[in-house]
Amino acid sequence: MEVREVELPGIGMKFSFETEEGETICVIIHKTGRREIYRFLPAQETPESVIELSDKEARELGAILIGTHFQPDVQDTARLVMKELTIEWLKVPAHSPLTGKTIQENKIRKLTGATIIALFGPTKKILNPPPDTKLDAGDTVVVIGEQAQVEAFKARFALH
Amino acid sequence: MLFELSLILFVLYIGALLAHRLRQSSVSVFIVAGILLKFFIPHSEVVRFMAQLGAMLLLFTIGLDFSPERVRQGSRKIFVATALDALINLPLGILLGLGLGLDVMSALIMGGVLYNNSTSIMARFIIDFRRSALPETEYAVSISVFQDLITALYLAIIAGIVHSGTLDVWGIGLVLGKTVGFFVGAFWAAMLLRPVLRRLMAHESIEVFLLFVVAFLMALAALAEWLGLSGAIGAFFAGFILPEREFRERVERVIAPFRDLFAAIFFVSFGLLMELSHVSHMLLASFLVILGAVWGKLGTGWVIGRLVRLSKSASWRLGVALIPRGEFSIILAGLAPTPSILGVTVITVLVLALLTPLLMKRFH
Repeated sequence: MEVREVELPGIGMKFSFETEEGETICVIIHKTGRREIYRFLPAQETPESVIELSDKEARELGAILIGTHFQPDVQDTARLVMKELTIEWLKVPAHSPLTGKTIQENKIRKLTGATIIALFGPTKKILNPPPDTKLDAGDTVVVIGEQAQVEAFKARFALH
Repeated sequence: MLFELSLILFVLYIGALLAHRLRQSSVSVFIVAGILLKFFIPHSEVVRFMAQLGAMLLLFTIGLDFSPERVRQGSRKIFVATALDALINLPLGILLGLGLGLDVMSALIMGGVLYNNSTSIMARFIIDFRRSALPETEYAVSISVFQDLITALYLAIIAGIVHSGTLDVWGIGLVLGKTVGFFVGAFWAAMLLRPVLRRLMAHESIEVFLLFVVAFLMALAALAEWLGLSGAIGAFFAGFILPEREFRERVERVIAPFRDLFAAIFFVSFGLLMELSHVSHMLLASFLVILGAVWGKLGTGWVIGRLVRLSKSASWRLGVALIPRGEFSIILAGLAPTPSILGVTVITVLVLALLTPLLMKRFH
């Protein structure tokens, strides 16, 4: 998916992308912090609808959309890229070397630099898991680090 | 003196409040405030000085909207659109000026007045009418920003000619040489000094940062004035070469309060300076100028829109977005040897600010 980015001098920034259904979603971030979300139907040049949000509302909506409050099962992975850091939600498959060992035994931080900050499973939910936490197949780990570290983590432990 | 100043500021406060309430451009309200104040207080040296400061800060922040990077990134479509806009509206304004019986100098100024549309007033209308995401808006704002660069060059040349007082080939050639020399020289120096500038601007203290920015602005304004080009142009160029994106917002944040204060006095001073003796004559001229201003931009929008394959209605909307005139037109008009030009321009700016929202509703 390609996100087009244009600066609108005197107004703010414009981000737009096309959805699978061919609609265009266009987000304007005003200099004042106000956000507008425009929805254009395929081949239409005037918007079908406009949503206006304050800075605070937009952040809250963003958090909801990214899955802070609720991660549906359909999604095995999610990622959040910030300027310096990347946070990624990853499902641990059975064939991963992580499975059946503790965080410490896997030497995750030592080998990749990335850190596991949370661990979810069907019956568990551990924030900031201690080094002796065991990882099972089907768990979802939330890993934080610089982008290269997170990539190294995924490559090393077969989480693609 | 303090009494006069307090009166001006109080009237400005009421004006700003009113403009905010009516969602009108404060520029027009401030000029009207100045016209009203004219009956009570004289135009003093202090007001003149503050107005000059306001003009410099205003042009500085307009200059901030660009950077050399942006000029390099501008697409060919935008350059062609900008050129078309200039080629249609500058000559139209000059011809209109000559048709109204103005001298050549005043007619040249009329060209600039008609050409430049106000980036800030336009941006406000676009935001209010929720047009930010529409296809023509990208063109409208880019054209408007590049227009400011061209107008700044134009203004520098005009100011230089007014300063030297001659219209012969040598005089104009000298002014042109100086202007281009100043732009190219300052641009080159800024590119060369970029790493140093960046280190100086990265200082954590707001106080240090503010004083650096203002000192830099004043240095270029003084250099431009020394060359006979008008300090405001130096300030514009200071804004043009100073920022990179990372600093632009910080510069704007520290300068905005000063700009708002002094720019308000700048616009009031225009009201104070206006000649009201030939109003009836001015009204007829204003009517013709307004017609030219509206149709010139509608035509421009139509031509550009069709050229870049916008739809018909988007092309009309592009033209409408380019209609409002503002600060640059007034600054230019202030240089005119014929005093009635300022009056005509002020009336035009006021009427267009009221007319544009109606036209925007019409072309939806």
